[in-house]
Order: sequence, then C-alpha cells, then structure tokens
Amino acid sequence: MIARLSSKLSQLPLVKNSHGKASVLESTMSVQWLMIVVVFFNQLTLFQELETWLIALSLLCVAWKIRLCSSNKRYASKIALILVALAGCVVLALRANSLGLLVSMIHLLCFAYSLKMLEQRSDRDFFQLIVIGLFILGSGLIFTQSLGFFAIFIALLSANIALLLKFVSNKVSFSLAQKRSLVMLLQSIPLAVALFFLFPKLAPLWKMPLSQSATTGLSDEVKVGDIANLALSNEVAFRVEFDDASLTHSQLYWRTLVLDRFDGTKWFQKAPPIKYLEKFSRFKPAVSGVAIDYQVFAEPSYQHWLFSLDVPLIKGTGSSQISMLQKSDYTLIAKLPITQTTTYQLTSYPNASLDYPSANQVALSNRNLRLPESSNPRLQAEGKALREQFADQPQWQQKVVSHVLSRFRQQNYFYTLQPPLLSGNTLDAFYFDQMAGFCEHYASSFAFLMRSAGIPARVVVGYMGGEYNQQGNFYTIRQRDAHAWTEVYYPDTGWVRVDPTAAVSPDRIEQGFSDELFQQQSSLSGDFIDFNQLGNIQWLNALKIELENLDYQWTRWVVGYDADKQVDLLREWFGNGAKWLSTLAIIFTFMMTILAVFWAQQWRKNAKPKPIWQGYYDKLLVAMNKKNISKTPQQTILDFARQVSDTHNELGLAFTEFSQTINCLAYQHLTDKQRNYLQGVIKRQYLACKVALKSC
Amino acid sequence: MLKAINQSISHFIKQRFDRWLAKRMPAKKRFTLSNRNIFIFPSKFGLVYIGFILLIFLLGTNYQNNLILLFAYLLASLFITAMLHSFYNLSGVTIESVGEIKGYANSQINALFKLNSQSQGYQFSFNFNGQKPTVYAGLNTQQQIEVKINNLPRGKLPLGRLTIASDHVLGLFRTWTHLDFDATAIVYPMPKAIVGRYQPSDAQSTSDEINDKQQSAQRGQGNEDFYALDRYQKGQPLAHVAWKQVARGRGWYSKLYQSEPSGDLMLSLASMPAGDIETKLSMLCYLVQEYHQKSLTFGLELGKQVIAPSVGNGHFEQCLLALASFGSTNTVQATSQKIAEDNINEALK
Repeated sequence: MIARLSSKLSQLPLVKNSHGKASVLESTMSVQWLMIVVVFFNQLTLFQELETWLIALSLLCVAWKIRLCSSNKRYASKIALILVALAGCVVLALRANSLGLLVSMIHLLCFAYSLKMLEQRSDRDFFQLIVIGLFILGSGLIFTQSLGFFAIFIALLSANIALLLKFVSNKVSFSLAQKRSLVMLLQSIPLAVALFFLFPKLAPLWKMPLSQSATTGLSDEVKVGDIANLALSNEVAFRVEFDDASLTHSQLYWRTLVLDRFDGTKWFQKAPPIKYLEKFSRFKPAVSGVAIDYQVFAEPSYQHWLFSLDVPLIKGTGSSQISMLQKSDYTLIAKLPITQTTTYQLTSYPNASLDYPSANQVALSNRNLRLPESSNPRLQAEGKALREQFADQPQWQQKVVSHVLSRFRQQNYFYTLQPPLLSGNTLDAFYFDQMAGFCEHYASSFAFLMRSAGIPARVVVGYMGGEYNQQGNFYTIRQRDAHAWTEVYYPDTGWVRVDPTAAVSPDRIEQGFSDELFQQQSSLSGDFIDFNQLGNIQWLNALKIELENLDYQWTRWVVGYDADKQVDLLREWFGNGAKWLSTLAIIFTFMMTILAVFWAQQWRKNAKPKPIWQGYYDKLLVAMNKKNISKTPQQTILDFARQVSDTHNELGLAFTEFSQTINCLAYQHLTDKQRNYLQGVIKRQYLACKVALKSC
Repeated sequence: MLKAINQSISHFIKQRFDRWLAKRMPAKKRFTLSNRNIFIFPSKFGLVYIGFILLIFLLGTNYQNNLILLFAYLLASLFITAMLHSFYNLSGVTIESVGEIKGYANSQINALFKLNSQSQGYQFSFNFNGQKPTVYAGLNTQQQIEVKINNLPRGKLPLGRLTIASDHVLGLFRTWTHLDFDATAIVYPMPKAIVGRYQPSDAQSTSDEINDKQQSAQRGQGNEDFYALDRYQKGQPLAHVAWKQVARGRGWYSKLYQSEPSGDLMLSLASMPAGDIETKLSMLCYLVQEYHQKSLTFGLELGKQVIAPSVGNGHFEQCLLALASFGSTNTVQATSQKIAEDNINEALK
C-alpha cells in the first residue's frame, strides 16, 4: 500500500522525468542487432504454421531492419511502414477464410511483430515488441508439445529475457545478459513447477478456435495403396501404457475406423454428424471376461477418431477425460478433433463379443452385403461359386472363410510394400493375377469376396502391434503400424475379426515389420539415413530407447498432466488434507525461491575473490581489536596507522610500513610487476606486525 | 471543482507521506540501502506483464494445454525472481554525501556522493526533487558520483530528498529510495558583466570622487587595468574589444581600463547601476570574481551587512555566500559566521 502511494507520489514532481529508464534512443545499436536475431528465431518456431507469403514478408522485414541498423537507424519511415502494413493486411484478409481463425490470428501476430521491429521509436515500442514476442513464442506450444520443442522454447525464452535485460541495462554485456537471464530462469523453475503440479487445474472457460492443420494418419476412405503409403512414415501415432497386462504382439489390434461401404474403388463409412451422435447415441457395449486397463496418449491427428483395443469402455467419468463418444461399431470418437497431444483412459475386454446389432438382421444384411453390381465381376463370380459349394453345410460361413484364407496361405501370395500398380477392377486384378499387395489389398478383396458369397463383412482400419519400450513400460505405435483387416458376421457369434494378412504373412502379425519390409520402407521413403538399420548398432539403439522413454515421460507427466492426475498426486502426497497442504507447498516453494535468490546474491558478492592484502589487513585488524586497538570506519588506512604509531612505539613502526604498502595496493594504479613485488613485501610486513603485536 | 478536490487530496497524501518518510528515514549524511529504505513496485510494463501472464494462463486453460500453463507459471515465477533481483541491485549500497553543494544560479551544479557496494550495480538514476535524473548505467563497487542539478535560482535552497531509482533487471519493477541528506544548495548569483560604467568606491571615498574617477577613466583608456564594459563605438581601438562577449553572441563591447585604485575598494549593492535586485547581485558577483582574480583587496556592502575589505579564498567565499543568501538574513549570518570561523582555523594552521 505504502509502496503504491509512494510510487504515485514520485510521479508528482514538477519536471516530468523519465526516472532513469533506458530509452530506445539511449540504448546501443547492439540491442537492435540482438532484437533482429530474437525476432527471427521467435517466428521460426511457428515456421510450419506460417504461409509462404508471410515468411517472405517476415524475411523482408528482417532484411529491412538489418539495412536500417547498418546505417544506425532504429525505425523505418512511417509511409513505407503503412504501405507494407496495408499490403500485408489485404493478403491476410484474402487468405483468412482458408486459414481459419486461429492460424489467421497467428499470422496477424507475426506480421505485427515484424512491423514493430521496424518501428522502434520509444520505450513503449520496445516493451510491446517483447510482449508480442513472448506471445508468439507461447503460441508455438499450441501446435507442438514435444520435449525437444520445449527445450528450444526455453532457450529462446532466455534469449528474449536477455534482450529485455540488455535493453533495460545497456551497460550489461551480451554474455552477462545471457548468463543473468539463464540464472533468473533457473531460479524461477522451482516455483513454476510447484504451481504447475499444485495449482488447481481449471476446466476450459470458453471455446477457442482450433488449429486446422492437414490431417495426419488414417483416413476414413481407404483404397488399395493408401495404407502402404502411410506405412512409409515413422511418425508416432500414439503411445499406450497398460496398467498391468502383458499382451502379445498379435493381440494388439488398435481399432480406429470401421468402413462398411464400398463404391468399386474405395471402402468408406457414412458416419452421422458428431452433433447427432452426441444427442442420440447411448451405445454401451455389453462386456464380460478379462479387463485390461490402459491409457492412450494420442498425438495430434486433427481427426476425431481414437484408438482402442476390442471391446473398449470409457474408464471413469473424470472431468479431465476428453469428451468421447462410443459408436455402435465399437469405435470411439472424440467430440473435438485431436489438435494436441491428448490422453484418455480405457478399459478393454478382449474376450467380449461384438454382437451388436444382432436384433436388426435386415438392416445389417442390407448394409454389409451391398456391392456395386458391375465391379470386380470375377470376384463376384468366385463368391457365388463358394456359396454354392458350402451353402448346404452347417456353419458354412466359417468354412468359406477358412477356404479363402487357405488359398492366401497356399497359393503364391506375397506381402509387400511395393505392390504393382493396379487399375480398373483392382480387386480382381490383385486376387487373381498379381497376388502381391499390402494389408489393405488383402482386407478389401477378402471383404468383397465375403459379401459376394453372402456373408456380411466389413473392413476395419487401425493400427497393428507397437514397439515396446522396456525402460518406460509403454508401447509406441507409429504410422507405419497402420493396418487394415476385416470383420465377418456369423449369425451365432456376431462380428468376428478375420485378418487375411495373418494368413499371408504371419510374421507381420506376430512380430511386426520384418527386415525386408523395413528395407522396402526406407528405400521407398527416401530417407537419407536409415534409422532402422542404425537400430542394429547397440549403443545407438539404447540411446534411441532412452530418448523415446524421455519423450514419453514428458508426455505422460507434463503434457498429459490433467485434473484427475493432479487429484491422485495430491492424495498420494498429502492424504486427505490435499487442498490446504498444496497451498502450503506452493507457499513453501515461494519462500525457497526467495531464499535461493538471496543465497545466490550472497554467493555472487562473496565470490569476488578478496585480494590477499585485504585478508592480511582484516586479520590484523581483528588481532589488534583484541588488544583494544580499533579502527573507526571513518579513519583512512594511513590515519589509523598514525594513531597506532602515536600510542604504540614498536608496533607503530611495523604497522605504518605495512599500512603504506596496503595503501599503495588498494589505491594506486600498479603494473602487474609492481603488484607482485608489493604482494611479496606485504607478507613480510604482515608477519613483522604480528610479531610486534605479540610483544604489545 | 473536482480537480481542486483531487489536488487537495494529493497534497494531503503527499504531506502525510513526507511526514511518514521523515519519521522512517530521518536525515543523515550516510545511508546504507536495505529493506528499511528501499521501495519496490511494478512499473507500467510490469503491470502489463501481469495482464499478459493472465492472458497466457487463459490461453493454456482454454486449450487445456499444459505447456502453455507451464509457460504462464514460469513467467509468473520470473516476475518474483525479477523483483528480488531488482531489490538486490539497490540493496547493500552505501551512499554518503561529500562536500557542499554550491554553484552559480541557472547553471549546472554538481552534488557529489560516494558510493560503496559489494557488487556492481546497474542503471542507477539519481535526482533531487523536480530535477532531471543523472543516470549511471554501471556502477563500480567504489565510485564517486555527481548528481547534476540545473536551473536553481539564487539563494540557499534546501534540495529535499535525493531519489535513487533503478529499473534493472527487466524493467518490470522500479526500485527506489528517497534519502534525506539535509542537502542545501548554496547558489550564487550568476555573474553578469556590467554594461555602462561603474567605479567602485574607496573604502572612504565619496560619490564625488567616483565621478572624478569616471571622468579620468574616460580620458585615459590606456594601459591601465580593465574595470568594466561599454558598448563598442566606432573608432575605439580593436584591441579593447571584449572578444569573449562577441564570441558568446552578446554583442560588441569594449573593455574600459583604468589604473589600479590606490586604496581598498568597497563594492556595494546601492552603487550598482539600475536594475532589479537580482541583476544588481549578479553584477556584484561579477565584480567580486573579477577582483578576486586580480587579488585586489575589496569589501562588500549588502544593505545592512558589511564585509570588511580583505583578500584570499576565504574572503571570496564569504562574499559569494553573502551574495547567495542575501535576503534571507538569519541563515546568512549563521553561515557567514561559520565561514569566518573556518577562515580563522585556516589562518591558524
């Protein structure tokens, strides 16, 4: 209160003064140069979200600023700036519709940032630049949350702070500014971490515009060749941690989308809009048998669908659980697209049957038997023939299925990432002629054949398998694990998974990618370095596993730390008094921060080595004090020597000599040689004084 | 009406604050800055920064983005750290006033202070109330600083409290202190050359004699001593032109010369050419300077106050002090007495 008052009052003086605030005009050019670097790198973090024209504009502004700085100017002419601003705004207005609100705002921010850099007329302009810069830096976190990016983020944050520090105190050198800003950041971390883990997590207050990046991963339309393309990417799709379950590779079928319509070239689904599902869908699968609890960390795909093992149930109803919907085809979808790393918890019942909707036989048959009449005639004929062959047998459907699978097994079918190009009736061509393809070739032709034979069938796409990280006890599922399989409907058991790929290439199901597939993958994707080959080098492999684990722990503990986890953590730490104890913990950390800064300051003050002579003098003063000879602070060294020699004869002589040398060392400008010589002398004189003092 | 109320309120607050300050930090010659006398408050930028943190926090909450939240907490924590660093920038500095603060009116006067600290300080600004700050971007552990004071009127002026402020580290906070050194500036009148003719009187001379001398001076503008300036008239020797005045753009004057007066001179306020009292004092100051430089023996008569003719630095200072404090009699006598004592001490040494 008092501080507030006095600050008000300090503004009263008659002459308006700037109170020693550094001003842009006073600040050295070096601040301007540092500003260019910081502005450039701040925007670089958003590189992937920015459109080419804006990147070009930003680079132009940087070049402009460099030119200005070379001629010792801090700002561009107003007219030129207004022209550039207008041009930029026009382009932005034209592009805004296709960019979406969020990305448009970010473009606007970056553009304003570049212009602000060119308009450094006053302190205010500078502080505005800093705030916009921090905002840009922070908005990068909307799009990327990996540990690596955060490390870059922190480095840049410290550069931003250094820029501010250098501006406010222009006598501070670059290296010192950088060092001070890092030290300050480090000192700030404990409190920030305490706040992060203990400060209550709030639910979103209002809806924000979502980023509309290009979607990644699976798509809800699959034609032959699509998944083989996706399999070229080694990007992480999601990660999973099981509570306590050891599943074999062949059990990890990550159901994502069910495609039950075929138009001759592609399988697709006709999903009702999310709004409709939200209102009317109350589907809850009946489950029984073994339950598996697990947690999924999905990377942003900008899609709605989620990944789950059969048969999933949403676990708990925690407020932090993202809003998910359960569809009647046993898949899960999120109400909002996954635009950032998202965590959700599920319980799956692998032995439960997928028998819904057994009641509505007609609708089921209608949808899952429908085929375009003219497509793939040879397969249709083959289907009819099979039906005729087995129709009169009990459980004829199962027999047809095993017959076709044995054909895949026995004939010369080949599982490859490089299938020959197919055209026209692609499924016919694959099934009868080429006999080489990736999982979607097998799945779609198998489903087509089943439908031709009169057995309801559909294609399921998702991921298969996953890489287990022993260090962190989690599975990483990458885009290359994308997979397509089929489900057929038996009247007595409901939907049953049939994976024709398992018949062709059992290894793919049991162990994942074979070395051969990896080789194909790396030669197709044209990567400069084949990381899978590097995996054979042991230490590199170990390092890779460590890094992946680190990234996973980051995702788990920081990116995925939600209100539920907070409640768990607080209960674990503080028991039932969680609320007030966590407040106490925040206060405690706050105190610790203050102490840490205090100690650091003390250390900084003491760290400056005392000159040797100072040590001698101080020691002697203490010794003399014991004999009741004391120096007042006002006395100079020589005054004190005079006083001593007035009262103590013997000591006075030695002490006067000593004091004169001290005086030289303290106040005279000496060369190194002189200093060394005097430091030798002072030691002798010091000892002489001590001897004299003893006899006092 | 509102404005008046506002003013009276702020005046009242200021009074209360001054009283509070006087109690908390009474006048001393030497201060060590600590939590007892340092004030700290967020600057305008600091307040904007707090708003910015809230914005980032909202962004993080609405996107349920933990990293953005972490960023907000980090910025908030940095705010606290910056506050502590700002405090330690000032804290531990010992400041001591050195010497007297004196100089001529309407010119720059330097107040000297000695600073001692254990670590380097940054971006200190010093100013007396109402004065422009003197900024020291970097301070060594031992440093003498000069606080510039400008445009003071003649007189003995209490300067009030010295404000030491800094925006270091990040400009988020302003740390400052108001220290009362009991600083008083002794401001002499600004010397002003006399236009026209002036003849100082001998200690015993009459006005008649002055006239005589003036006439004789007119007659003999020769190789005598300079005593005053007159407007340059065509035909006067160029050697007598006061080139300094010309260079300063004050116009053309020629120097008038006269032979050195024989006896002690008495400068008096009453005998100054026309003008208001301040101008007269300025002229006197000019003459005092002039005569002191020439080591003339002169006395000074300011109304009732009379300084006996003498020479030397002590005398000179005494005269200047008398000129500075003319019009505020009490203080003048006290200080002039002190200076007289000082002179005696000096003489004894």
